[in-house]
Parts: sequence; structure tokens; C-alpha cells
Amino acid sequence: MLLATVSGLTTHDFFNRKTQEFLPSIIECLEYEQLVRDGMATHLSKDEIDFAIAKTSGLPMIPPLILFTAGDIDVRGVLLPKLADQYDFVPPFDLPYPVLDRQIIPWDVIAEIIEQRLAPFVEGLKQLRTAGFNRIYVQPVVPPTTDDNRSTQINGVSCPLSVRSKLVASFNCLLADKVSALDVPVIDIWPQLTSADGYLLNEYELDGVHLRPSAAKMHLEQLLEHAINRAWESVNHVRHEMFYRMACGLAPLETRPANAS
Amino acid sequence: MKLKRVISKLLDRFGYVIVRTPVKGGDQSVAQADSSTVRGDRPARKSYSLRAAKNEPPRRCNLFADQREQQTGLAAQKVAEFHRKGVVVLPTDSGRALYWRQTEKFDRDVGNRHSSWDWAGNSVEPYSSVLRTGIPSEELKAELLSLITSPYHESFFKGVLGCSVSIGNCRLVQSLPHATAGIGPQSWHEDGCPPGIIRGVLYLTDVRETDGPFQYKDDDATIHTVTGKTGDLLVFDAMRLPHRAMPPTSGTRMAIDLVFMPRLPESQSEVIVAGMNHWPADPFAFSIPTDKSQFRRDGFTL
Repeated sequence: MLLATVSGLTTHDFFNRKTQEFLPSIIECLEYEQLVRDGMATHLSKDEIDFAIAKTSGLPMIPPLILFTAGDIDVRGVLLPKLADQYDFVPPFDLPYPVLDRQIIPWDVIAEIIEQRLAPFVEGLKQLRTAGFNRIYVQPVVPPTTDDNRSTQINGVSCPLSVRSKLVASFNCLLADKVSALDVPVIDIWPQLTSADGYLLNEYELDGVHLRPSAAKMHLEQLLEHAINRAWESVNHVRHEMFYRMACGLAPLETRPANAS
Repeated sequence: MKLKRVISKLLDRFGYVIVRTPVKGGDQSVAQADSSTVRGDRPARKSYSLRAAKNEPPRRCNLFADQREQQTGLAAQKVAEFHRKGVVVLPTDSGRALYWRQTEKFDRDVGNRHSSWDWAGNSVEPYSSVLRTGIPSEELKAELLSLITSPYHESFFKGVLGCSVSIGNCRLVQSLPHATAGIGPQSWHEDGCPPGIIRGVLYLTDVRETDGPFQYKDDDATIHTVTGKTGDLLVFDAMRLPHRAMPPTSGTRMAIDLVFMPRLPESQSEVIVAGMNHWPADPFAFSIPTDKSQFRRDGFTL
């Protein structure tokens, strides 16, 4: 399973829809982990080099489990400053947060910004699946800190706890809608991380942005539990065909013979 | 400059290129080699996009079948029938099948206790309460190994698949009678088998219309019902034929579910028991899954 950090990753920079290219550090990370070589998922490669590497490693060549988490910077860097301490909004989701005595921004405006930020990420995930990475997961943005002073210090702008929590939760709702449509599961542990009124439990606070390792462990456990129950997605038909070819006395990487049905 | 070009050409013939930082006004051909190569033997990155790749089951699982074996093999008639219909019934010793029915234990639900990262398989929690399963005994495994390596069956599988086989998984299956609609293997489905993998069901009971017989749809979507006797071995292409085990309404059906997978020429035939798993995710590298129910009960620790 791949757990790597790409610094400063935003949903908006994840994939360039004009050039159809990923953020370079995404591909470089996959290449470093030997999951991609020459623009191709290595586990599905029919290249002699990849076949030899797989043989040498002795490891199963199966679609890797990859967990992406992105969106925190989009929320804190783009959306939160727009609301600051002056505005609130009413999302169409069942969320536990109150509406404050602030000027209300129409939900459509908020939704449009979120969707614009998410679109490159969603398109990138779609491309990853098309390339053969069918076991990718998304972790939503974690609940924001309940410490107002810390939040102001980190984000450079004051925003009430209910508004910033509502904003992250709304972002996550739209994120879940979009990625679920691609059959990309969302590893959502908000119910375990938050109190009944929807705020981050103190025991998971770390530095105002990240959560304690215990929360990471919960994410990992939920991911593994989900993945082991969808084990049929791990099958590599390309490698099975190579194996079948060899069993029939054929070279593993040749194209299908003319007499094959 | 000429000398450089000659050296470059010579190196190129042996698959090498000169890689160095281009110098302003320097040799353009070398500079081009610089910009078009990374680590000497790979083209320079042109993009950060990914190529599409297919990872899908085939429409038929016996793509590389040996056509000659159909004409001359010991099991020529059955092989030809398999190629024509995608399913065939091979009789085996009914007395032995009766013995297995009486001695094997169908003592488990269909939860996947052998869940494994390198196997495709069912969910950990059972998906049905009307299906029971069991782990085949060593004695049964040995007998299944003798069966698939007998000259007749060796010839049959070579004709059908083009190669010898191992049993990639075998498990006992008991279908209890019920009136509800079938789910899982009792609903119409294809198995998602990888290339080279075909399925088998060895009946341990007589199977009439009401005992949950195997059903399949042919190329014209006509439904066929395969009733059978104790000891009948159905072998079928689970991708070519949409199929199901018809929900039994009166009798209990007992059978052995089999996964036949290709065997490399230099390897020995084997019979693998992998519980409610289907087949290895990568046939070149996999471990034999173990029963993890105790481990799960005690809780995972990361």
C-alpha cells in the first residue's frame, strides 16, 4: 500500500485537464514507488523489463492500494478567507452546525467554488482508474481545530468554529458525491473523530492542522477492512494471461496466436 | 567534431549514448542525445500523463486451447463438446462421491476466513445463510489430485485449455432448500475468471430440478438446466456462460466447487485449499491463504 506525502498538494493542482497531465510530483511519487514506469502502471505492463523485475522481486503484481488525501489546503487557502468572520452559509446537507448572525452567502456560490477546486482532482482519479489503478481511496479533509486562536494564527484569518467546520464538512460531502460516482471509496472516520455537535474531539488535536497518530491508525484500519472485503479487485488478468501462455508452452509476452479463439 | 560523431555512432551501435550537459555552441547531435535521454537508455519524459490499460476478464477463458488435442486425445469427444457448448459433464466414481458426502464436514458459513491480500475472494462476512461450506480433508485432496492427473483428465484439460491444470481452489458447498430468490452463486452471474481458469462442480448428491441444479445461458440466451447424478463432474467456462446454481426448493445439494487453473510445464500438479477465495491475484507469486478466523476474533493490531 502506498502512503507517501506530496507537499502542498491541492485538489485543484492534482491534474491538468488541458494537458491531460498530472502534477509532476504525483507521477514522480508513483515512479519512485515503482508503480508507474514510462507512463504505464507497472503491474499491468507487458514490457519485458517489468516482467523481469516482477520475476526478480517474487512479489505479487497486483493493483496497489493508494490513499489520496487532498483538499485541506483548498479549504483553508481559498474558501475560508472568503468567509472569514463576516459570512455564513446554509448547505443542503444534514449537518449539526448552527447558522450565525452573519451575512449569508448563497449555497450555489460556495458549491461552485468547491466544485471548481474538486474538478481536477476528480478527473485525475478517473485517469488513474483508467490506467489500471482500480484500488484507490480518498480520505476526506479532517475536522478543523476547535482552537480559535490557533486557527487564526495558522490561517491568517479569523473564522468561527461552526463556520469553518461546516465548510470542511460541506467540502467533504461534495467530494464524496464526486468520487463515489467513480467507484472510488471514501475512508470517512468523521463520526469517530467528532463530538455529537460535529466538532473535533480534543483527544485528536495535534498541531491545529494534522491529527494525532491514533487517527491515522483509524483511517488505515478502515481502509484495510474495506479493501480485504473487496479482494476480487486485486486480480491481475494481464499476469494471468501471461501465466496461461507459459503453461501452454508459449512465450509470456507474445501477442495472441492466429488460431486462438 | 568528426571524431566525436564517429564515437557517438559506435556507441550508439552498442546501445550507449553520450550523456553530458549541453555546451553552448557545442555539438548539436550530442546535445540532442542529452535532451532525449535519461539515464542513458530511456527516452526523456515527454509528459506526466498515464496510458490507459485494461485489466478485465476475457470473454472466454480457454484462449490458447490446443486444437489438435480435440481430434486425437483420449477425451476427444468431451473436449469437442466443451468447445462447442462451453460446458461438459464428466462421470466420476459415484461410490467415492457418496463416501465424500458421508465423511466430509460442511461445518462453516460462507464468510471468507482465508481472506488474503494476494487472492481474489469473497467478503469476510458471510453473504448467505442458506449456503454452507467446508474444508476438504487431506484424503479428498489426494483423490482429487489423482483425478486431474489421470491420463483421461490430463488429456481432457489439455484439449480444453491447451495445458495441464492444478486445482487452484476446492471447497465443499452445501445448498439448503429455501423459497427465497437466489443470491451470490444462486443468481445469474459470470465469475470474472482470469484467462486460463475454468470452473468445476462435482456433485455429491443426485441433483434433480428441485435440488438446485446448475443452469446456464447459451449464446442465444436459451436457459439450459444440467441435472446430474452423484459423482458427475461439471466443467464449464464461467465467463462464456452466464450461469447460476438454481436455488434448491426440496432437497439439499452437496458438491465440491473446483477452480481449475493452468499449470506451468515444469511444475507439479497440486490441489490448493483457499476457503472462500477464488484464485490467486497474480498466479506467478502467491501464498497459500490460512484460516484467519482466530486472528480476526482476537483483533488486528497494526
